[in-house]
Amino acid sequence: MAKRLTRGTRLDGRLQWPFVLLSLICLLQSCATTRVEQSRQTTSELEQGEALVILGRATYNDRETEVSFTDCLATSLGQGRNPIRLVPQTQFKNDLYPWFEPRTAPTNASDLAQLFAEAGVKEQIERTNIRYLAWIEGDTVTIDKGGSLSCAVSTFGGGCFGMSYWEQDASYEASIWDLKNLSASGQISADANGTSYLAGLVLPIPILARPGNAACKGLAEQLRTFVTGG
Amino acid sequence: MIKKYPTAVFSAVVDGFKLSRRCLGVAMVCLVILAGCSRSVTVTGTVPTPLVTELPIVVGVLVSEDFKSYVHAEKLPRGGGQWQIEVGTLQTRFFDALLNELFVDARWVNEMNCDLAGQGLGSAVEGCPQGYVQLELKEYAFLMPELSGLNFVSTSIKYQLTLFSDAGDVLDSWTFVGYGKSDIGAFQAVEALNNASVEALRDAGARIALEWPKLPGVAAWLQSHRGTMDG
Repeated sequence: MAKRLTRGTRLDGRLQWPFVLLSLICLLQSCATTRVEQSRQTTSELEQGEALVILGRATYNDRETEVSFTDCLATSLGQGRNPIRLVPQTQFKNDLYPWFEPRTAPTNASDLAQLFAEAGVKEQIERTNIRYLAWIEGDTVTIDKGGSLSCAVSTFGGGCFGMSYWEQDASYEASIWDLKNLSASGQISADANGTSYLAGLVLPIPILARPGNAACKGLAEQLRTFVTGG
Repeated sequence: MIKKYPTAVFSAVVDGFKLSRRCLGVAMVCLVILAGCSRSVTVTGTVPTPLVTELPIVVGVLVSEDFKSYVHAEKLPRGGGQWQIEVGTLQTRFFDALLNELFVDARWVNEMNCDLAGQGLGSAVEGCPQGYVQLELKEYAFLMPELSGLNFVSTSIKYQLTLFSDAGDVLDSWTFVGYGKSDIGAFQAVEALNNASVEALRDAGARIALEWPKLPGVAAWLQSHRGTMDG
């Protein structure tokens, strides 16, 4: 009987470990700091039925806004307490082909008047009732990494030992253009920074900071406030 | 002197050795498969309808059978595998849609020979093309992240677009490149290559729609036909 009790205590002790580890991971997972800034040039806001389109600024160099980031923004803005009507990026680009390809897209809001003079462009924008266009520029880069982690497998078992880390910086800017007034409405920037860890304690334990996700959430909330005025 | 190990330990070592050899064999087979792996991509995507001002001209479009069924085959260095990329079907659909929006009528012909009234080429017979455009794919190239060190797949497609008068004289010849690139995730090489190829096609199409009509030889030809229409 005494033996059984001892064994039971040991098992309880083992069972508590995952909870402790999970709590630790949850605590460490939010280690990303975000800073969001906004500058507004006009006071207009979305009216009933009007839509927003989010476009990632594409270039031919080695840096580009990730599709996953614009998708994250679209998902965040299309849901929540005050969902916004969004026109999908692919649909917008197809409807207005070839005017929003990487080579041909307007780079400045002052180019909008010239673009709207092209056959069918103004009509297509009006048909889909798009009021705002948000150009997203920026990316997430790894600015530092280090540590050492090695894993080995043999016929008698395997495991990982050591620890590695990487620090990422996510920096994005949204330039909002008003397609009704053909002018720039303002800019919102979001910067997030965080360090992720991969600890090897037999099993590899990832502790991820996800600064890209933090920047997406911060930018989405500010963008929602900007276009709805709420 | 032969040292005698206890039977259990000896059999465990022998079993472990057999297992190791088995694992090694499996690993070798996997490596051979991976090294010689062949991947096939049929480029697919949406063909957008271009939003451009239609030119009031009838053209004949000349493309080869190779263009319609073009397949790019390449073996990448450093174990990148053998790739087969089928571009022909989509590019044929794409340029058919593009040229038919750019011109009032763009009909695919096998040769520059419109002899509706038996009067021969360049006789300005009603219903005959007022010019011919010949589209040739000169080069398809792609770059995977393993070779570029970047986080995306990039592709380029080089085309040559030659404009002929209704009499078959070369009025302009333009060689241009369409670029495309696409983010790549884990195990998404095929999807990323497809997206990058579609982007390159779209870029080439945008250049035809917006840059080609402004080339001196093309602009003069367009002007002459506009003049005819206005007159």
